Amino acid sequence: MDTAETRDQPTSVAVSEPVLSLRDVSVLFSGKAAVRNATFDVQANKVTSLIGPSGSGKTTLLRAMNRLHELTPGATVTGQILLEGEDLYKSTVPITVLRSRIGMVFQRPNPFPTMSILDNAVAGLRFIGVRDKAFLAESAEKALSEAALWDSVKDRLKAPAATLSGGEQQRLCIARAMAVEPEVLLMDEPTASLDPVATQQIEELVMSLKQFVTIVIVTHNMQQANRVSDNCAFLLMAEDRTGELIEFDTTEKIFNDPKDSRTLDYTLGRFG
Amino acid sequence: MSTVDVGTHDRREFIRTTSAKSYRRRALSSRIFMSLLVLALLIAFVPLASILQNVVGHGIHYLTWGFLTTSQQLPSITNTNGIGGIGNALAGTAVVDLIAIVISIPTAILLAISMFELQGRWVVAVRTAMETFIGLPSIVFGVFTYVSLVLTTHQYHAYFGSLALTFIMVPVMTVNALAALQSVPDTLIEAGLSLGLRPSRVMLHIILPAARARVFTGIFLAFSRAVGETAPILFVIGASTLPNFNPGAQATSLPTLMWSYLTGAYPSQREACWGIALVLMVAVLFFNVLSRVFVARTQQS
Amino acid sequence: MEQVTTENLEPTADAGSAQAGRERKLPTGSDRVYRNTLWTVLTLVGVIVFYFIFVLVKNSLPGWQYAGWKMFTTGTWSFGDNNFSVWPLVLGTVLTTFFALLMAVPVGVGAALAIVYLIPRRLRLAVSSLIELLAVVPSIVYGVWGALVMAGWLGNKGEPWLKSVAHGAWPFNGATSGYGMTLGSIVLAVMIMPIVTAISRDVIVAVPKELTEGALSLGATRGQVIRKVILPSCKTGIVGAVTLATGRALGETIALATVLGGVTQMSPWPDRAFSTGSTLAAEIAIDFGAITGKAGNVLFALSLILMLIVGVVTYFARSIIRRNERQFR
Repeated sequence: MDTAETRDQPTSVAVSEPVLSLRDVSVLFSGKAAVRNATFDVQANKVTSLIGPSGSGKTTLLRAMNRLHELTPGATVTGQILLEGEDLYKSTVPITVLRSRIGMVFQRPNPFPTMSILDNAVAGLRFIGVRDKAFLAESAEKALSEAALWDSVKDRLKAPAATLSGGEQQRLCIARAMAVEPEVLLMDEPTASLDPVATQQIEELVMSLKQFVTIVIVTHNMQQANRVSDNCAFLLMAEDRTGELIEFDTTEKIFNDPKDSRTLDYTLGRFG
Repeated sequence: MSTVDVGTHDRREFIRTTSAKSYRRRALSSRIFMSLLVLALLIAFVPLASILQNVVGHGIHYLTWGFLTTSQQLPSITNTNGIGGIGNALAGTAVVDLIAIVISIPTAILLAISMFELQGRWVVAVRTAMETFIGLPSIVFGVFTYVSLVLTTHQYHAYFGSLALTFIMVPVMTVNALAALQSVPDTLIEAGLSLGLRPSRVMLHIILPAARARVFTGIFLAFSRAVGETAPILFVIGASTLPNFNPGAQATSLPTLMWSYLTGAYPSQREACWGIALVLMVAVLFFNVLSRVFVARTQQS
Repeated sequence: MEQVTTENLEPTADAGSAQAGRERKLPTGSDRVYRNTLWTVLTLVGVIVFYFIFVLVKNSLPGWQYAGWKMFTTGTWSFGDNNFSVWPLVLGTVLTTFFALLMAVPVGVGAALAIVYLIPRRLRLAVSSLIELLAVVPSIVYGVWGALVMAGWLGNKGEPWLKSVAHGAWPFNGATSGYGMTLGSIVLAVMIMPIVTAISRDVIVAVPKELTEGALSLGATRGQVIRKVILPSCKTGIVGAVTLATGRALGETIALATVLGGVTQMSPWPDRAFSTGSTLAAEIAIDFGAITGKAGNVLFALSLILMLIVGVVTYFARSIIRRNERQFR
C-alpha cells in the first residue's frame, strides 16, 4: 500500500538523506486512532506535502512530528518518528530542545500580538536562551530576509506585529520559525487564510526556503501541492474514520501516474 | 559584532549549544513558576476553608428549633447566656426582604423591557446608572433612605429597609434581564412580528419566555446579595425584639442582629453570631446556587 | 406587518447589543399603551436616580458648610468632638485598599492561571465555583470571621511574629492588638480576591490557543509561554479586573467597620502596620449611630465623596473590560 523510500532503495529522484522518518506511526485520541500506520521518509532539503480530503489525518500527523498533539489530553502516538535517526518520543533530549529543531507555521498567522516585529522574529531564540544582542540582530535580519520580509520591515522593526497585513504576518511567523535554524519546517495549511496574492508569495517563499530547511506542508489545495512540493503523501479516511497513508511518491508520479486508483480519483477532483 | 562566526553551520551550532546549556535553567525556572501558581491556588482556598469551618463548626449547635423560633433576649449578670433566639430577626428579615422582592421584580423587568424596546439618550443614561449602581457601596443607599425617609418622618419602619434594598436589587436584576432579552435570537422575534403580533404580545409570549432562565438568574443573584446586606438597612429599620410581620413596625434582621451582637457586651452574644452567620449563609448560598442552576439552564438552550 | 424603514434599521445607541441592525424602535401609533407604560417606567426610574443624586448632594452641603475647610486640613477625625479632618480616613482607605490589592492580585491571577493550566478541564468549573463562593459571603460574616477568628490569631501569633522578624522596626512597631490596618487589609484582600480570579480566568481562557502552540513549537517551556506570551496578552483584561476589585475595596463598609478599630486618641493616624484606623466607608457606618444635628450632614458629605470615587473607578473598570473583550475579535 505505501511506498516507503529508504536510503537503500533507488528511486527516480536523486537520493538525499531522510531528515525525518516515520515508521508505522499511529496517532490516537483516547484510544481511537485518528491516523494509523503511516510510514514514509522526508528527504532533506525537499518539500514534502501531505494531501487528502478533510478528516484524513494530515494535520494530526503533522502535529505529531513536533509532539504538539500532546496538548490534547488523551493523545498518544505509537510507532517511531526519527529526527536524523533520533526517536522523538524516546530521546533523552528534552522536548523543548528538540522542538527548536522542528519549526512550525500555522494555518492562521499567529504572531505574538504584544511584541514588535523584531521581538517576534527573535522570540524563539530568546526562549532558548540566546542573549547576545548582536547575534539576535543578525539572526533577525537573516530570518526576515529568508522570509522575503526584510526590505519592507527593516525601517519599522519596533512596530507592533499586528500592524502587518495577513500575508506579511505569516511571513513573520515563517521568519520567527526560521530564526532558530531548524532542520525541518512544518507548515499546516499556511496559505488557507490568505488572499491569492499573498498565497502566491508564500508558495514562492516555500520553494526558495528549501535550500535552508526541509519542509513538510499540509495543504487542502492539491494544485498547491503540485506546484510546490517534490514529494507527496496522499492520505484518506477509511471507513472506520481513521486516516491512512494511501500512497507516497514523488509529486510528479502522484499527480501523473499514481499507483492507487483512489489517488487518481482524488487528484482528478472526483471527490474532495 | 557578534562573538560568533557568521557561517550558517556555526550559527546553528551556537544555537544548539545555547539551547542545550540553558535547558536546565529554563526547566527549573518553569517548574518554580508553576509551583508558585499551585501555591497561589492553595492560598486562595485557605480563607474559604477557615470561614466555612468556623461558621459551620461554631454555628451548628445553634441550629435548634428553639433558637430559630424564640426571640432575642438581653442577657443579664445572673443569666449571661440568656440570649434567646433569632425568631424576631428571622421574621424581620422575611418581611423586609419579601417586600423588597415584590417591589423589585416587576420594576426590574419592566425597566429591562423598556431599555430593550425604547431608544434614545435617556435609555442609555438610565442603563449606565443601573450599571454604576451595581458597584456603589451599599451604605450610600442606606444614607439616601435615611435622609429621604427617616429624617422626614422621624420614624423607623421595616419597609424603609425594603426600599433601600430595592436600590441594590433592581440594578442587578435589570442588567441581567436586559442581557437576557438581548440574547433572544432575532429570528424568533421577527417570526413573531411577521405573524402580525403586536410588539407587546411578542414580548409577552415570545421574548420573555425565551429569556426566562437568564432573568431568573438575575433575580436569584440579586436576592442572594440583598439577604446578606447590613449597611443599607441598618439605620432605617430601627429594631424590634419581638417577631413582627407588620411592615410598618420596626424590625430587626439577621445582619443587623449580628452587627449589634458583635459589639455586644456579653460573650454569649458574640458567640451567637456564628449561629446567625450559619443561618444567613445557608439562605445566601441557597439563592446563589439557584441562580447558577439557571445559568446552566441558559447555556443548555 | 411592521413597516421596515431605514430609520428602523439604524444600530441602536448601545453598540454592544445584539440588536444592532434589527428593527427595534416601536413605530408610533402601534401598541400605544405598551409604549407609554414603558416610557413611564423608564422616566420614573430616571427621576428616582436624579432624586437620589440630588438628595445626597443637597444634604451634604450643610456638611461642607459645617465642617468647612477643616475637612481638608491635617488633624484627626473624631466625630464626637467635632474634629472633621478627613485625612486619617483617606489615608486609611488608600492604605487598606493598596495592601489588599498587593495581596489579592498575585494570588488571584496566580490562582486563575492555575485553574486554566493546571486543573483538568472537567474540574475547572467546580474549582472556580468554590473560589467564587468567597464573593458570596456577606460582609457582616467577614466582619464576624475577622473579629472573632483572625483578630485573635493576628494578635497572638501573626503580629508578634511580624514584629520580631522586623526587629521592631517601623512599620512593624508598637502595640499589637490584632485589630487594625493589618487585619483590615487581610480581610479586604480575601473579599476582593475572587473578583480578580474570576475575571482573570475569563481573560486567560480567551487567549487564542494558537499563541500557546506557536510559542511551544519554538521550544518554550510552560513557564515561558505563560509569562512571555499569555500574560502580556491578558494585561488589559487583568487591569480591568484589578480596577473592579479596587472599586469594591474602596467601598467596603461593614467588614472593615468591625475590624479596623477606628480612629482613636491613641491612634489618630494609621502610621504603623498595627495601628487601628478607619476608612471613609467604615466611618460612615460607625458614626451613623451618633448622628444628630448639624454634624450628621458631614457624614452625608462623606457619602458623596465615597460615591463619586467608587462610581468613577467602577466606570473605568467596566470600560476597560469592555475594551479588552474586543481585543481578539
